[in-house]
Amino acid sequence: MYYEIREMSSYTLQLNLEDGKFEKPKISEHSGKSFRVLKDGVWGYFVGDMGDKEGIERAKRQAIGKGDVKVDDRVFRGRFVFKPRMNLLDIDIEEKIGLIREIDKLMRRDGVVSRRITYIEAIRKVRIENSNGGEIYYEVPRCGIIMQAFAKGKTLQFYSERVAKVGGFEIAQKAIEKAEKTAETAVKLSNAKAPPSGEMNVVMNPSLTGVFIHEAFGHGVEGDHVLQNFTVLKGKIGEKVAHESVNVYDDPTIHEFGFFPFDDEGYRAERKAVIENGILKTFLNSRETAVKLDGNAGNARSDGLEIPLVRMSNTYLSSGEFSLEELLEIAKNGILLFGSRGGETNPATGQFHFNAQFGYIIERGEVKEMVRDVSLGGNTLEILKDIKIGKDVSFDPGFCGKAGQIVPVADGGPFALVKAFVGGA
Amino acid sequence: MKIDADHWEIYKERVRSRVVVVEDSKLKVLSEKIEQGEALRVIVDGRVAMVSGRRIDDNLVRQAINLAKVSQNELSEFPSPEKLDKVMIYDKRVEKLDADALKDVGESIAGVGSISSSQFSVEVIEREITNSEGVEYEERETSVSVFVEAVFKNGSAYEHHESRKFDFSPEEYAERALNLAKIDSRAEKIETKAYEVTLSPIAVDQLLSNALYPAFYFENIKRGRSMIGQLLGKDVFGELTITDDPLIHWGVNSCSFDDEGVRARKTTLVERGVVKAYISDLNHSPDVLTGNGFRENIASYPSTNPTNILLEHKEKGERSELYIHAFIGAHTSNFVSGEFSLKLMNASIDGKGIKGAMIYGNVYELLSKISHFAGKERQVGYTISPEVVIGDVVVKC
Repeated sequence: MYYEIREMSSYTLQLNLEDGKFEKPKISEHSGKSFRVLKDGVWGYFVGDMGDKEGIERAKRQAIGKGDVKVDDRVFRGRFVFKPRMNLLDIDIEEKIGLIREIDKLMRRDGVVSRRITYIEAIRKVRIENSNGGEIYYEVPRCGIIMQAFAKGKTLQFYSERVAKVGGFEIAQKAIEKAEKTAETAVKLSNAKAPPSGEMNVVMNPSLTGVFIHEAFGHGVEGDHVLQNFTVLKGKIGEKVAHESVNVYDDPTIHEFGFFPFDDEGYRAERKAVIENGILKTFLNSRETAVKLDGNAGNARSDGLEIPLVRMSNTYLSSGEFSLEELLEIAKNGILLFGSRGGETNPATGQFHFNAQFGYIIERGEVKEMVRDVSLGGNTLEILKDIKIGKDVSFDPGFCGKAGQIVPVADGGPFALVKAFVGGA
Repeated sequence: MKIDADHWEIYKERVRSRVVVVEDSKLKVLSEKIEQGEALRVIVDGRVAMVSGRRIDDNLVRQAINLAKVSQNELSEFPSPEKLDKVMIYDKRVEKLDADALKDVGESIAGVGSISSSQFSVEVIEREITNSEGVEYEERETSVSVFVEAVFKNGSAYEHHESRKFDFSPEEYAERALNLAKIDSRAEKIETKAYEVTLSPIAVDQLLSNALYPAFYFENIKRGRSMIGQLLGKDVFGELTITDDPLIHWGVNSCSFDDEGVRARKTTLVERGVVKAYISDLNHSPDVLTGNGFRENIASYPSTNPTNILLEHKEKGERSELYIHAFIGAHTSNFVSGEFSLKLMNASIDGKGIKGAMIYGNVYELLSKISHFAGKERQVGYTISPEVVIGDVVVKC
């Protein structure tokens, strides 16, 4: 019988400045324990305030019936404490407030009808022990700022920017560089035109490329989706699934928002080459899916004390050879899209859909007028077959939802040219 | 524990839940959770702050008071006690569903075949709120829900259902999902043009929860993030009536008080097309409280949320040929402008699956074009509605 005990404690401080006023400040300190037992191929899971022995017994009582679950029970032992440059608990709250106020000042301008700045700091401490003698402990701080500007012109629009990474207060300080641009973009957007629609050349900015790789492709390589027959990529390891210039990696060891030293099954984190030269190399795996899919575990994450699921971390499309000017020139006519307001994908069919924050019309290789409320849809594998990739990769932080669980991630990529379906009002 | 604040409020929640997870038509996990949390809000000199944890202790009380000193969030006091309307939301039979009962449900869902993943959950939730104004309310509720995702060849579909009682057959939802997946596996493109379309209750809830309901939150109106404020008293939505009603017996979001101790009550938002009112939490309240302050989780501030939104229309009729089961990307809709651009999921025309289609437009305009309602009423998420038939909707393929 295999078992795991997971003990977690978390601390979060959130400060919100809404239209110049500090609203809804909050601190939360939570802790708890979960127990997981594998018996006769079925998991029994228990969450409750109990001693280890009793908790395991309770989880065992849930593991009834028969299933075919097996695990990679490799043992890891280790301790990792992330040391930020500016420790979150050492910085006075007045300094945090001062930074937020400064950002707010930079976001005030004609046309902006409402501003919202959210500061979040969090520290997560996790201890995992398993029946084979594995024991890991880690502490990871995260910090970030979300800026939103609402502007009224011809229409009412909003634009947001996020700066968040693993680390200390030094991360939040970087948000100041993006404050003015956030407000300026919202104002421009409120006077932008409705976009054209139909299939066309689309140049995605790095942020949107990252979301595309995460949403449209990444969910399709999650091992649980493979076992659920819920991905078009099932059975395609070793096959060409994208243009030969495509290289996609998931790397929890990069110090971006999706960083972790060990996953939530106590497995050491490692970089995975998912696609190399257009060939599908591996799926992302938990201890369970790794056995069935003959891969390496290390990608199981959970929201609080929920059951760990196969999740991405920092996922990115690696750099290619084209400059932005070259991509625009090749596109000739089409649309240049920036940022994302979130998206959704159906890994079973490869269909995806998400909204960009804004865009510009491309005419004869030149960037023309701005457009608003623009969405992007298509089929992942078709798009990856014919993609032209830009040079410089950058990451954007985000929160990824799956089966009701939210985990911090980062998505990255360079500018990229694809052919996709653009919709708009 | 002494709380040295002008006013205070303690909210407690205890949740006992059981879940069975099925993956690839096989039993995978059975779980039991006993979770509890407490949240404290304090008001010091008219400013509010909040802390939360598994239990509120002296350390958290101190942190709350310090945080209130830097807060600019004005709140004069917490609600005073009122006589509550009782609503039925607790079925003791749900408490008796044990691991064996869940295993049986899991196996019956798995038995349908082609089930990619499924989750069947039962929950008993106890909420308790006390405040310095004398409020002492508690309520116990039950919830039973199923989510099923089916994959057949290259087609997929999902179904879900939630109830206060175990009064439905989970495998029936599994069968529905499988049938939709089979239709999807044979989906084809259709001609781009204007159609009369029918939105299923799932599609209605997805669209309105993202593109419309937040526009009725008084906070969004006050902050210039909604058009509803300017539309008050105006005829905008044709023959549609929209009501927020937490007092419907066995409603999925029914309650007798909200998460800040405000008495639950019915609010008519739209009456036969005319915008009548909005909803709010305590903090962003206009003169009249509506009892719509709910916490996403124990660590969240109460914020405005609908309860059960009842949609009514005087015309009843048949479904149109083009039927939309669900949308992909509904959460990307823009409630500020009302604009949406959505991919159709499991749409069909005359029973044949439609591949890769989209609709886009503005929710205000779309709802004004409702021709009638069809089929049976069902609650999905916030929305209680039958199928909604809308004329002249361009479907792009």
